[in-house]
Amino acid sequence: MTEHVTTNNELGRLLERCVLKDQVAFKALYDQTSHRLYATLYSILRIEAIAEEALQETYVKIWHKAAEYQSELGQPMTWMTSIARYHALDILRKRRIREDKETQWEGIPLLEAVMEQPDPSQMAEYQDILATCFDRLTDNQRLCIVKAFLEGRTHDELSESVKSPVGTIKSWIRRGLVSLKECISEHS
Amino acid sequence: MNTPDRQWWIAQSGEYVLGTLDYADWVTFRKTIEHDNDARQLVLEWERWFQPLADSLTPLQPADHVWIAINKKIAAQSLPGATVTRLHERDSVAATLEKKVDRWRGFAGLATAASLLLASLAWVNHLSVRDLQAPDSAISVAKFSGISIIRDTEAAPLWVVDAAFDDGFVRVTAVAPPPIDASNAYELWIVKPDDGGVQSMGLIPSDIDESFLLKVSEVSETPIAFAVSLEPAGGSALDTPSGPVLYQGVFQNLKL
Repeated sequence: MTEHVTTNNELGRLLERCVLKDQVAFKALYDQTSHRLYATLYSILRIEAIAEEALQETYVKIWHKAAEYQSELGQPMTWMTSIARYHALDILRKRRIREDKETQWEGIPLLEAVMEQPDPSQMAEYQDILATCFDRLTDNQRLCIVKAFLEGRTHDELSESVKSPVGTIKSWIRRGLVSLKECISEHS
Repeated sequence: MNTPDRQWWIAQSGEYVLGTLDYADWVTFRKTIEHDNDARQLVLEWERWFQPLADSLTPLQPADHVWIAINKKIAAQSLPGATVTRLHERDSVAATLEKKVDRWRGFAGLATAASLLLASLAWVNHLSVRDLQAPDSAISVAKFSGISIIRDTEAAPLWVVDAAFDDGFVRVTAVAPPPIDASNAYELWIVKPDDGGVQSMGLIPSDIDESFLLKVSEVSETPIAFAVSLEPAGGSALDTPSGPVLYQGVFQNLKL
């Protein structure tokens, strides 16, 4: 946890330097975070070249928007991940570029394993609570929420994937989210 | 958050973060969080709570050329007048390219007789490049020297071309090319600087997600762009496009 806090403090400091247009700090920020943001983008976009292009745009946005980061509203990595994810989701919305390829999903370290056997040395700040709360969800609720977050799956895509009606998928996700929120509130 | 149903807000904000809202609902909610602090707070909470999911992904190291491209983009945007230029960049570049390619096509029209002779050679050339798949090992050691995003008129990406000229190939990834029937094919061209003409790179994939490598002969000059023409199934029988040039993408040279 100490290491995690240190990392976030360091990232916060680098972001502050980016506000001052410190290119050395920007490079350090890139070196420390690009492998994680690229993994996030690739898991959603699934095409190397597009994920690389999205990573470029993400860091251009980070460079220009560094002044908008507010530490009291969240950790630096969360802020940067959100920029990356929303950019990737924008790309997917504009053009649904993918075919549903189940085989491609196999390479993603799906979260069930992480949730069942959390590694304390690698746990992020809220991972233990999230793991506990995910355990309270049904398998289908958990699967849909995780795939939507990590892979940018739509209701329709999830419906096709798990062979259930779209209405059922929506219900699983929304009820799952409400359950998650209640559980997280209990443990916070 | 004026509605009495707090659970609705919890679910809606969660779906906003997940990305599962349909487009209209997503736009509406995005506008909502701009002025509704409670809704925005819920979004921030979801982003925070879901971050461990992102953290759990196996890290992937991006290629070196990504960092170079980021620097070039930022530098380009920092130039005086860059904002204005960027707003019109795509249209102006597209128009310029269309003129250039039209000029070459016009010239090609005058060279019909010569083209008959060249046709067989061009066909041989297509055969030699079309089916060449460089081994995977070539990718791992290749240094991509540039990239071109070939876009449609709405700026949506259709193909991505990663160029490794020094290693003798380009990687073409079909992102979302418009479907064509079997009697046609898309052909990729490099556009040389200073009105230096075009050079065929060969036929390119039209199936979404397909990505393959084209072996290229020596490229003596760094191209200014890539262009895609619609050709008969075997490709242009000329050394210039014989069909309409439909799409273009500026070439970003990543060499320092």
